[in-house]
Amino acid sequence: MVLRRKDKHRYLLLYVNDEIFNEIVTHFEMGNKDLRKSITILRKRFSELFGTIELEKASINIVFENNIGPPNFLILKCKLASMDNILCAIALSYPPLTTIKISGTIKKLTSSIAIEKHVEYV
Amino acid sequence: MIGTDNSIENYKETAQIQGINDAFVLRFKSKPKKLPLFKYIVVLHESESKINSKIPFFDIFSMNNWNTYKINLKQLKKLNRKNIGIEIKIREIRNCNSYEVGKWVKSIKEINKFCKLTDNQLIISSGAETNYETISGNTFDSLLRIFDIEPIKYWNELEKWIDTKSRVYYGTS
Repeated sequence: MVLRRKDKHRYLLLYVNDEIFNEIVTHFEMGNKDLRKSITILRKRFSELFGTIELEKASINIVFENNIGPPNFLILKCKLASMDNILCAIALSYPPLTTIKISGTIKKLTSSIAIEKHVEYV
Repeated sequence: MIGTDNSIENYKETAQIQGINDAFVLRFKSKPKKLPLFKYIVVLHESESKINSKIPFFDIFSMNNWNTYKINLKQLKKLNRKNIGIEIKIREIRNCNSYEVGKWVKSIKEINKFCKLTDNQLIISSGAETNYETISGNTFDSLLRIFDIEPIKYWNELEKWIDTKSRVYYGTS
């Protein structure tokens, strides 16, 4: 018998400054799928603080919403087990990022800010 | 919990409203001419003056350099005052490189030990000056766990400390 248990994950709603948000939008409009560059700040800080192995375990991904209602919002997906480390890395990253909400589903996450559901994982 | 304000203009507006909401913290860089109508706490920044016996009364000592924390702790020990809040702003740590962040974590652990031994209170604040720099409660808890501080215990102690300070300064009008 094979155990097929998935790791639990969480979605984070981040509030970012104009500089970071514009960079993400530009990347998407140009058809550049390498949006990982946009969260370099977070990944870099995370690997500096907790190491590259922990970074891979955390599997931080950006979830790009096609029709974002309110500007300056960003959604990240990550493993629940690494939540403490990720929140620390977010709090200690520069330029600043702010965690607004944490949820297990995108539906709950976006319910308060009315974001349409065109989700694309990168 | 933490709000920001650098302007005196806002203070003039809010000062007219009695019984201002306790959920906000306004920071003034300069001393207002009139005493505020709401509770206030005096903050001394590390860069402003050296700690000695002639130093006037203050509630919070704000540290902004991990290099000098040992000297500051020695001076605070000599001062022999209780119930002082030792504040560390995440904003200061955010601008540092990873090496310095590590040093900060170590120094916060030692400052926390010092505070427990001398009946003082460690205060970790966002130090936010813009909306983007604010830090959520969950994130604070994660940071506290990284600093080897139990979040529930920390928040309870901080609440007690704020209560004791509120009694002293309430009703200055």
